[in-house]
Amino acid sequence: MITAGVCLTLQQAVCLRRETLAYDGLGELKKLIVAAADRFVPGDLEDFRRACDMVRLAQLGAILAASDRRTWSPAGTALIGWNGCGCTPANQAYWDDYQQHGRETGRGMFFVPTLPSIPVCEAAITLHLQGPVCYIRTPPQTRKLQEHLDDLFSDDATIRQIMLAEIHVDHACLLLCDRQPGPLPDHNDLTAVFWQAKKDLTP
Amino acid sequence: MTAALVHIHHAEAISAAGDDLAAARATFAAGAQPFVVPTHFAARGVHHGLCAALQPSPRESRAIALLKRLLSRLPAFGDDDAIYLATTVGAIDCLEQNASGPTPDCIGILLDAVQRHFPRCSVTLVAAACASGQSATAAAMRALRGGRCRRALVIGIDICSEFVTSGFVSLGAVSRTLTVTRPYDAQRDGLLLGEGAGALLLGLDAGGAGGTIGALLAAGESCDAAHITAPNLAGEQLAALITQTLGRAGLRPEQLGGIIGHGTGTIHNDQSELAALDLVFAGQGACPPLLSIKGNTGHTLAATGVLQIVYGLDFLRQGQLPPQAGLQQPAAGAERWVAAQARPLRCPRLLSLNVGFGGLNSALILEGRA
Repeated sequence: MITAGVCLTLQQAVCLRRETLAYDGLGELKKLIVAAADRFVPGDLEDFRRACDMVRLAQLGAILAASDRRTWSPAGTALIGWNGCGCTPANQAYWDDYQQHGRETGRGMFFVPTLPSIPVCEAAITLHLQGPVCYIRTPPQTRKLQEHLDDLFSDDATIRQIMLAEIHVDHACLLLCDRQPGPLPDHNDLTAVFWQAKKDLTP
Repeated sequence: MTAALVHIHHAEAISAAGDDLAAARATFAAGAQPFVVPTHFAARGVHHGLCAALQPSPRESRAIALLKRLLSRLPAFGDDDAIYLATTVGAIDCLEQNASGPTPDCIGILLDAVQRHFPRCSVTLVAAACASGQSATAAAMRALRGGRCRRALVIGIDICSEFVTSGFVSLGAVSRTLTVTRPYDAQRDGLLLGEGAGALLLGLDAGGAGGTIGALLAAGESCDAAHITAPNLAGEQLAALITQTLGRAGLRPEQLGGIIGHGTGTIHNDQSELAALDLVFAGQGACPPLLSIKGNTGHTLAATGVLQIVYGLDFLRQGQLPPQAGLQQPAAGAERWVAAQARPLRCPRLLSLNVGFGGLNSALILEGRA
């Protein structure tokens, strides 16, 4: 079921199939990707500069996960954000900024990311994914997430694959799942799923 | 092949339009705009304008208090049932009141409150910006059709807060009049916020003690994948979604009785939505009537999708859409869609639309029961 994926931090991106990338901050990772355009799927990173790290992790992670797939097409791809830290850091960042400005004016650049669906929407824009996109929070059991995947696949025949994203303040894991049968291994987070899949791929 | 009908067994709504359906019906019929000056928050420099507030500030979180009011009205719920909670920022007032200490997980606080009320049920939070209400409903429909639960409860809830209001002001989305919002009007200039909560009890069986008050025929979701806050003004993605959703319900456009639009009253939202509807109904003679409930309720964010369905069921029972509140002169191209008078539904089926930041689109078709 899992066809590609990436676990990334602010310094390193480990792909399921491709080589590990090391960098000093997400700005440098973006430069690496842009400089080696022939090795990565194209992505719209227009919003990158003004984005917070959670959004940047989602944008760059989406490009890396898509590039990790042997053949990539954005058509029929849904995107689900799952658990992670939601919008809590973005809420505090907006509120702090608003208070520091005397509670006289908020700033849109801080307000928009306060929605928990924003990182996955930015990732969808980056890869031009037009399938269903949302953020869900369930108990931390991948079998709960599996139910949503199965329901989405069985309900909509136009969906060919689903990108899963678990975004935290300083790390993220994105996995691509297709319609092939086979459940996600039972874990509490996507990172553990990723490492099990990576281990299974290792000869 | 069309998917199984999802029956609606119970529906509840609390909004500024009314504390119950009877009161809301009177508000809609009169085209009333019950916006008031918010008294539960104040900010020195931000002109928040009016909003559709429901109650003075309680001692506990305003969001939790509203949730409790809603939950107290719901029928008993079984252990093998599932709950889908739609919210954009949850109990955001907990952050506003938090002078020190760790940042509260505002959506988690609301999720935990629902889980405590239904300790043995599976609760899933669904967040898709202002399309959350219908997105949660669509998730519940899929779970029922997938056999994951016997019944599914969908809850949509959001409050008016200084946090959200100042944020929408910062984006220039709030009406400069600060007193009125005019969805689909030539002079529209922005939204006014409202708070609200709605609930739908869904199941695949039409029977049971309470019978059924309506049905959900089909739902669809998509993403423009173009801009984080602005909709596609040409409406192409939304039009494609509506057409796809109609197809999944086995319907043609002329088999819709009316449309409840997202209709925030912002320039771009309404323009995009009207463009999408024009694409879907191109070549059709008469268009079904269109209404935005936000003229009466304000923009209730994640609650709006659920409220549109609950109020839509009541419109279906009455056989007509009420007047569009706030409408003086329809926007160019909107003349064929909206009116300041009540209009009959040509059949007992409604299309309900939500759109949200991130380019999220949601379409849902509901059918009335006699």
